[in-house]
Amino acid sequence: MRKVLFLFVILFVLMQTAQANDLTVTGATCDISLDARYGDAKAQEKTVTLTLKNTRNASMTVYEPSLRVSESGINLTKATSFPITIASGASKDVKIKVHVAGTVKEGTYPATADFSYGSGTITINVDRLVPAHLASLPNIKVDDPVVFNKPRKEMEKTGFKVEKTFEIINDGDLSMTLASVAAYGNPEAGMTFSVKHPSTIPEQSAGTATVTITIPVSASEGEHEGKLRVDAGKAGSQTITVTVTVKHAVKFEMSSYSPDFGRVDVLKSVPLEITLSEALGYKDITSVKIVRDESQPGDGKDDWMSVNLPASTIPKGSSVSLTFTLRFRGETVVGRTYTWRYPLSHSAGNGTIALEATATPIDIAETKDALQTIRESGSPEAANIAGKALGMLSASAETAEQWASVASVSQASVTFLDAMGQSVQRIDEGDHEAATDDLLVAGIAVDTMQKSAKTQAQTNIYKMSDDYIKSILQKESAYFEKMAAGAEDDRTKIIAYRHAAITYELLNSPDQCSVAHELAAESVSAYNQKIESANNHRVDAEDAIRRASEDLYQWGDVKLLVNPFAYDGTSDGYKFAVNETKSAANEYRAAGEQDLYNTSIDRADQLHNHWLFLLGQFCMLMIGYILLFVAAMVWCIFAFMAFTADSREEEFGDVVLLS
Amino acid sequence: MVFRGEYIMVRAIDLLTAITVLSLLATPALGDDALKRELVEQVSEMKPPVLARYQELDLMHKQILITLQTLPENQITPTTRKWVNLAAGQGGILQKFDEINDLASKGNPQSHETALTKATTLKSDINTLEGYEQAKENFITIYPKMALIHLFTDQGVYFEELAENENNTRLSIDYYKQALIAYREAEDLTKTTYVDLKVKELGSEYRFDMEIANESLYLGEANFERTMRGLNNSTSLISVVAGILSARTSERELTTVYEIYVKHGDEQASRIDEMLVTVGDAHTELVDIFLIYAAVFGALFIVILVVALSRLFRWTHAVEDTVLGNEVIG
Repeated sequence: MRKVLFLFVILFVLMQTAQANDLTVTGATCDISLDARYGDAKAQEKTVTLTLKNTRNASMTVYEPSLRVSESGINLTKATSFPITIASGASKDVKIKVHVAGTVKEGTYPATADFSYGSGTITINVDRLVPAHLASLPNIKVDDPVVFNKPRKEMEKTGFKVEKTFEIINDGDLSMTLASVAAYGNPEAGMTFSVKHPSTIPEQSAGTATVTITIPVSASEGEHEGKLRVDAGKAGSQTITVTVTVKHAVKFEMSSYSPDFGRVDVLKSVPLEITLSEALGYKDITSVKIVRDESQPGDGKDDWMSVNLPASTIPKGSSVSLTFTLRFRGETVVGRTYTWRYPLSHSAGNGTIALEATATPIDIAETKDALQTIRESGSPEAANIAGKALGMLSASAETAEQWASVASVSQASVTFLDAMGQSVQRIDEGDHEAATDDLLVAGIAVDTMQKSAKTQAQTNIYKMSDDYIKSILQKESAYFEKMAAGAEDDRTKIIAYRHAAITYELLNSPDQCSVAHELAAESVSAYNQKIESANNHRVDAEDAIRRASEDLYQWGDVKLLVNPFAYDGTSDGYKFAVNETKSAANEYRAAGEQDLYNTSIDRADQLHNHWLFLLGQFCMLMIGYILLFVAAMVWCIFAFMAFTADSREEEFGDVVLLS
Repeated sequence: MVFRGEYIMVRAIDLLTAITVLSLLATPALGDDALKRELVEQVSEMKPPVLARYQELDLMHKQILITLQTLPENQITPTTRKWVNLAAGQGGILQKFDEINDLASKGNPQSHETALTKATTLKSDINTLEGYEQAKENFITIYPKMALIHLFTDQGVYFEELAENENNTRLSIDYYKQALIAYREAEDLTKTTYVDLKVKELGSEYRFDMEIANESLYLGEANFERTMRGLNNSTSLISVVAGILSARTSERELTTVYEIYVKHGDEQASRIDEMLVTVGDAHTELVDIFLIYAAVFGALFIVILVVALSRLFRWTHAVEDTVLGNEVIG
């Protein structure tokens, strides 16, 4: 039974299908416009026509169709009365009323009309006219990072700018007015947005806007976001996120420097400062490191060149001084050129600093200055020698040995010229004795030159110097010889012979030198003898005067000889002193001490005059004594005579009275 | 064949000889970088202020430096170190010169005296330096000699000036003696002679004056004590009178001593001056006491004299009256 029923159903379906194929329904389209632009849309109704065609060989009765539509706001109702009969091969139109409520959204809604033998489709296109509306906007992301690659200072006022274009879509059916497009809130890192946009966007159109993002130089590296609010008034507003990625660039700069220290005196510190800087100002340069090249270090010793890099980081926009200080140490071979190589690595790249310097002897610069001064202000001979020495010093010496001789000869030249300058000046002033000391120094300098001279130029300097000093020495030796020959006293002889000995020694005349030495020694002996005696005479003389003065009478500041009994002692004392002083004077003169001779002679005269004064005063005093004595005697006689006369008168009176 | 063998042997001997000679000529380097560095830097750093004071020492310093820099490394040996240390090392000639100069720069005569003593001992160092061939060959030894002479001259001038401005004769003589030593070392004939004379003259005068001063001091002090005794025994007129006389003598003698001490700047002058004030006061006091005595005795004497005279006058009148009576009667 069940099987029968099942077979029946299948048969029925097959029959229906066969029947459906017999009616061809031509679909229809229904366009409905709902105008919601100015308020709520009103319901719209339209009638569509479906054409039914009977393809069966027989007429067909078509009953009321079943109308289906999925959208709830849409209702379909038949406008034609059913059933209808359609002849075979004939067609008939049926009308269907489509009612669309005002709330139905825009869209296409398919509806189906199912007839007994076929079905048709009604496509309902609802066009809903809406007010202006801001379509959804995507977030803005600037894909390429903004590289801070211009100097910070330069960009401080303007900041870095990046533009991004985007579209603002008005998907409404009225023109949309954009009230504003601006930053919303505070964008990160101090960013600012400036947007150029159309003021209105027509319905169903898009407007192109350009946002200019200004990123201040202070922005850190990385992503920064900011909100941009698009305000289209009633059409809506949206806040979108603008994302920018900042990348800091670094620029390493090294100040220009000369890699060649040039000629550097041994033990003289010469600094070379190189400024390492980060030029942009956004990011530090890190891991700055300088070390001696291991593969090609150069031949300069490590401890001759000190490297001072105070920090391993160069702060952004700032600089660090890299200082090389070269100080050739004592063992340096003068004249040789030494090199150093230093790789410099840092986070912004790598480089190599190669340095070189030529060692020159200590104080050679000082020597050069001294020679320059002498050349400008010295005598013609001195200027000539100084010029030659300067020329030699300025010429490049190749080997260490050459440099050694250059240094030695040039320094000896300075010593020589200084000493010669002084000696010539002293000779001009008549101070030949002092000049000899300078000639001695000059002579040593010439010997040094002779010993050191290696090249022709150096030999020339030596010869010129030797000629110069010899010309002076010959004059001086002649002067001292003449002085010795004409000397009448020991001192002059000593001076003359001693200085002659020095000049002969410098003139390389050993025989004459030793003779002069011997004669000087003899004179010294004679001199000492005379001086010893003379000094003793002077002391004895003064002692005698003091002892003689003991017997003198001090009257105020003057000493007087008042005691006749002290006359002999005083007289002897003074005479002895005068004689001793004169003897001393003569010995001083013979010894050559002219000042002491003069002093002694003056003293002898002074003593003699003093004695004459004492003698005169003593004689006057004696005369006074005698006059006083005589006066006293006369007075006594007269007094006695008066007394006698008085006595006689008294006696006579007595006699007269008594008689 | 034999001849050939001999020839080879001769050639071998020649070769060996040549090698030996060459090895002798090419003396192995005794010195090294470290020693050269040490010496050059040591000398370079040794720049005492005395170099500016004495030009010769500056020349010496430069000469040592240039010598060391230009000497081949194989010639810088421990012997070089010895003479360099002696000349420009710690406690070397340059440093000693500097110490002496420091001492001589002070205003204290004692320092100068020490400087002079040290300078005298420095001569032996210079002589030792002369013993080093390398130093002598490079003309280094002559400079310190010259500098030493200048140093002695400077010290001579200093002590001479000091002596001339010194009031104390004993000190003055000492300073002149120092100046004499300095000038002698400096081989300055005239100055030596002059200062020698000054030493002798001042010494003689000082000794003479001191003899007088000592005698006078002895007398002055003895009389001073007598004066004090007179003052303490003022009840005795004799002691007072003796005291007055002693005070006069003491004052005179002490004044002589005082004058001599002042003349020679002796510090005892102040003590003598105090004694003089004391003896002057004592003398005044004794004179006052004596005047009291004199007044008392004078008054007594006047009374006695008046009485005696009045009696004498009365007696004279009586005699005259008697004589007149006799004449009238006669």
